[in-house]
Amino acid sequence: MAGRGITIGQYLAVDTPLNRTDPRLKLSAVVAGVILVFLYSTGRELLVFGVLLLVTLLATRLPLLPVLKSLKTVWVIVLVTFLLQAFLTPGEVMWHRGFLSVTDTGLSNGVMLSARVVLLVILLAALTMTTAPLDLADGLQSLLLPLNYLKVPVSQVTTVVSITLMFIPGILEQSHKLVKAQMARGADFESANLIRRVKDIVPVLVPLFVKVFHDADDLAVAMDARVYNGGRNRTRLYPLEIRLLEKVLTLAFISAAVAIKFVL
Amino acid sequence: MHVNPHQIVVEDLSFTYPRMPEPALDNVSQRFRQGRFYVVLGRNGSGKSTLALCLNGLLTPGKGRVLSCGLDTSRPGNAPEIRKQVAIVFQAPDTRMVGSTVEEEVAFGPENLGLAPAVIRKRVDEALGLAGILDIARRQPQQLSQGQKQLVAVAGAVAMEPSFLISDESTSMLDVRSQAGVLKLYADLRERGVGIIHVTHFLEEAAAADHVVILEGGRVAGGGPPGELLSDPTRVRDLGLDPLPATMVARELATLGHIMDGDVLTAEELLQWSRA
Repeated sequence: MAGRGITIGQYLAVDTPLNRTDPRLKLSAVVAGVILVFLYSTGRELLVFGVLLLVTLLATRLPLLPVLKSLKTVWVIVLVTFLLQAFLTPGEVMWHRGFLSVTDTGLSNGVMLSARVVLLVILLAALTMTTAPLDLADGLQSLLLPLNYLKVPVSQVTTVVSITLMFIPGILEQSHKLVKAQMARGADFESANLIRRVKDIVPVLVPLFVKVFHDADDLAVAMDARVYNGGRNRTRLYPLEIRLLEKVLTLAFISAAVAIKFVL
Repeated sequence: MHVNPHQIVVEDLSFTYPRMPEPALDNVSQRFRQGRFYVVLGRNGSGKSTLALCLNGLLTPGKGRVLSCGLDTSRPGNAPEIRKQVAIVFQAPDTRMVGSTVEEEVAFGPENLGLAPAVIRKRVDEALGLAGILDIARRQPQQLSQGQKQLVAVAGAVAMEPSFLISDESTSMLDVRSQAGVLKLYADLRERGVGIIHVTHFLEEAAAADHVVILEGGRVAGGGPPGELLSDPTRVRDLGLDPLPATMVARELATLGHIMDGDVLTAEELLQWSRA
């Protein structure tokens, strides 16, 4: 079933050094990582970055299985990206059958793009799994604070981001329940007939949207009742605090990632 | 009207939801005093939850006015102070939690008040202690039972140190033991001087109240001490509610010649009376 076992966006309350790291540092590292993933131009650079990322995650004792499980959400995107690149990019033909042909450039582009998507998902999964939504909002708010001068409602934007992240697991769970309920009434989500599958998904989507809007309204009222005013003048039980070691290690990670681009 | 900071005063309150032909509340007048336990009873659609939302300004009157702790709920500028003074706990806590741990959830209100971390810590610990859930402070709310979640929600409201706590059917989705736990917490809060306004459709829960208000079709159909109001099955039926089973049994026994001393509303009272 779509959505079952998906862990992307879901916070894992485990006690790892990465969980304890200040969200601003994690955000900075992830932003740097995302930019560099697009700047890397060779497979070797991407591979070395992948190893660096894996070693970092292992060193922080983050359970790797949930991180890798998040790739389940995007395997179709990765596959489609790879196939489109492999078959549609002009270049020296390596394999040919009928109107289909795979080129060397296509194959190389496909691998590169797929690797980028995989690395991006791992980066974002590691961030969201180790950072509670409210911490993420606070971190984002702190980093985006200068935008306040441009009249950007930073507090509201960051709260929307964090609440959205909080809602993802609930939406997936709800969709799972709805799919099971519809299957009990004869809906066939595994049917080979695409039109039937699309028709069967409608009775899932409509109540899902209704529930999501209803839940969002409930949450908004509950936050309002607890004097939430968009985060203005909000203090924290655990104020954000960057420790020296965290700062050094984050800087080391970013420096190593940058070095991959310029040294290799 | 005399403005009293220790009361919630509802005066000729009417409220109609958009696109609804009938008002949810129609000329409701009521006074709630701090340090007392009120139960607002009524069937589905009687206007109980609408009244609860009006008391802390989440809904503003269409007609009439509500003065919560001396502050007019119709004035938008009063909203933060009213929310601070009049906390509310809802029916389903699951979709209303923002914290990733229990203590963060409870801290959310005090954090929004801009309190210092040490003060927030003190309030959170006190609220968790009062709710009897200090041991689950570091757990994720999603991992808790429904009863524990509701206690977390109440602790979140308590941490605001309100003058009044409104419970909008907060026990309706709980099992009997969890219901009892939440009601005991409300009784403890009342002892500490907090005004409790518990909205429910369970007649049994009214037994512990100081005062019961019955809503029917958006209007106040009756009010008074629970013993006086609920011990007469005929009157209870007239108010659109089903009489309490313990009261019915006691009445039946009375017709058989057993002399009752006082009103019997709960099974415990019935048991005590039978032993006596």
